[in-house]
Amino acid sequence: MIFLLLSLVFLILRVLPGDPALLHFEKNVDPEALAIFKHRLGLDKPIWQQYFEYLLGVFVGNLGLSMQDYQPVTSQIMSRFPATLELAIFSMTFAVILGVFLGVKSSKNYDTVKDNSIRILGVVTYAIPVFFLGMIMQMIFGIWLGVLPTGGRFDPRLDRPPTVTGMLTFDSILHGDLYSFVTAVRYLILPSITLGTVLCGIFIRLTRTNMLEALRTDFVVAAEARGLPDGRITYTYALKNAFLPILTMIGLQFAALLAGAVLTETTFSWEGLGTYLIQRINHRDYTAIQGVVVFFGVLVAMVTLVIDVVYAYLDPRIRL
Amino acid sequence: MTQKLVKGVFLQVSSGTKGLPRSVLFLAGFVLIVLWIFISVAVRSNSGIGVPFVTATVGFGFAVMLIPAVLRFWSLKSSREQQAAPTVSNTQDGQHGIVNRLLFGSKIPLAILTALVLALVVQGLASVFVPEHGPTLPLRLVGAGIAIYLILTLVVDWYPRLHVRGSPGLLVTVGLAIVLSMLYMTLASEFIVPYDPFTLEVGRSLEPPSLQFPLGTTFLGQDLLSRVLAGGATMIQVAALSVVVCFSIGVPLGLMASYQGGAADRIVSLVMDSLFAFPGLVLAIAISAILGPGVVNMALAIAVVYIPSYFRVVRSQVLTIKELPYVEAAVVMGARNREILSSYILPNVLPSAIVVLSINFADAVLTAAGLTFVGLGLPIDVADWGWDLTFGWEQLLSQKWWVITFPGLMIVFLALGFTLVGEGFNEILTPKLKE
Repeated sequence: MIFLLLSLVFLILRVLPGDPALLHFEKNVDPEALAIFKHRLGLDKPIWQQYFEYLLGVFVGNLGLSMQDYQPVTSQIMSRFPATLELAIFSMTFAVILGVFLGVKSSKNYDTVKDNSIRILGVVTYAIPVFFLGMIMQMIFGIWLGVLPTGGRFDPRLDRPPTVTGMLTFDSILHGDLYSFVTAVRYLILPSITLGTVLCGIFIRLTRTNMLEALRTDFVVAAEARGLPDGRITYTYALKNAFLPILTMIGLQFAALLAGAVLTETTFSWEGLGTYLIQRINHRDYTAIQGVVVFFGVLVAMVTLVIDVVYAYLDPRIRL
Repeated sequence: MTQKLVKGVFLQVSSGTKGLPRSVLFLAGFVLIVLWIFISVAVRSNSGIGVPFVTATVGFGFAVMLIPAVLRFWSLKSSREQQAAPTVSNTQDGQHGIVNRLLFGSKIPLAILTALVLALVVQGLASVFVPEHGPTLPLRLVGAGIAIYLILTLVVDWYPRLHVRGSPGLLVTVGLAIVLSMLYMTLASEFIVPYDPFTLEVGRSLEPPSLQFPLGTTFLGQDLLSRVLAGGATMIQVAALSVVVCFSIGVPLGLMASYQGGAADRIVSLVMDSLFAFPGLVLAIAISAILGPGVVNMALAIAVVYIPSYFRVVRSQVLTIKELPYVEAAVVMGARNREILSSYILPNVLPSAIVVLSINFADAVLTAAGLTFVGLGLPIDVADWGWDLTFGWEQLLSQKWWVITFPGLMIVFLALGFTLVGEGFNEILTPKLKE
């Protein structure tokens, strides 16, 4: 499947009409310079040879050279990736916690005003463009209230913690620097809440549906009959059983998460892969664009695989 | 076969109508035409347009008005002729029946069509007549007329029918109301905008909302209300185009692949699955970076991303449907594959494809907005919510909240409308949590 995906990307970006090298220069360019340019990037070879080199390159982690600065795309992507991963982790956590919480509330109050308003909230969050929500957040919390920074990853006046994972929050914990940690988290709050809110709708709905089923099962009724506290029944008994589909959904939503991250990063000037992609698009750096697209594709496939394994581990009925 | 299908649809259209809505529709149409004549006269005195043109327009309006009556007549005849003969739509029971009734059993498609045609004609007329400084009063009246007509049809004809079915019906109604009003707003924008959306400096730069400029002005001193009213056109065009492309590729592909089965099915499914697993926006960004800006290119970039969602839904449906006895019977009776697909399977798949379509519309709108936001959108010289939002963002630091809030809200509403319609249809289709 990854192979197919790689071929698709290659097909769309390289084979379809429009020579990326020509597009890069936009207007007329000296043919000689173009030839040198193509040769440096290996774009002068026949298309099938390019294709095999590209496939081979992906397997050894080589995504080619950037059209902009002739640097290897892989290292550029890897230097940007931790920021995106950090944003993704925090947003997904926020989305799942909020979504599951609201979904449980919704299912407990089935068909009441509360239930319906939560459901409407879920639909509305789906319909909000993530960058619009981001702007509103920036406006309210960053500018009117002035409590949170509106963009960037870290206070420019402070030294960043030494790079271990590249994720500033984890780095500062590893470094034992509490102040940096708090700063990093402050910069993270708005982007992750923004992205998390947009994603939480699907979790609300999924939790609600599964909880409605779980709450009707015999063992929940039995637990109720034995007089167990309500919260314990809901969260320990029912939710535990309703959680497996949610886990699958986390994997499925990962693609949406990355897509949302591109826009969120642009909104909050977060120096991750999304902003990298947009910068490179503005420079018409097609090798870099292709690299990012391939990277995202492989990443999603990996996450899906991991989720499948975890699922099989958690649910003994599934055998790999 | 085709004739039977068409007759069946018409039968449904007219059997779902009652006395009151029809008369309201007729009345509204009548009022519209009277208005139309007034306008034509008023406009004609100002410019040298010929009588035949006006007559033709009015005649066309009458023809549109008469459609329900013609349908009614035809269906009466056909229902007398083939009382017992079951139509395609009648043969499917249960859940699909409801959706069929929602889709065909009311005048809404007709109303939309009528309104669209009317509005388009009005728009065309206006581009000829409207003086530079803004719309004339009669033209605004036409705009208002269309709005009233639409809302009346919606409320009178649809609401009671849907209300019986509880919240899903309500969702569909609210969603459709939002979508239709957006559509109306866009189509009639030329006549309802208070200022020309493109004129710079109609007010001072970045004026806050006031009586003169109800939503304030943009950085370039354009009236934001006018821009908001006119700004939907490109986005709706892009979304509609991409949805049409998606639908017309995804649905047939799904039908054929899963009906055929075998290696073809597996290959196509694999391709679709890998496309589906991909972060859609990233792919759309990459494709439109290659294709360049423009309505069609943008629509294509979006379309590629969303084809798999149709394919998957259609495929899984066909897999179950093709095992049903009536399909088997058709095969035994020697129906050709094409016939089986188009007359026996497609009508049963269509409802769920419609659900995907309306959700897809919302997705397409959001993706289009996202593309615009990252700078891959349309040419700058169009009025577009995405652009206004993106440019307004630069004014964020100076606390000019209105420049981003209103265009953004419009995008939210449009996407919300389509999502609600999809949700409603979806719940009608899968009523498993009813009890």
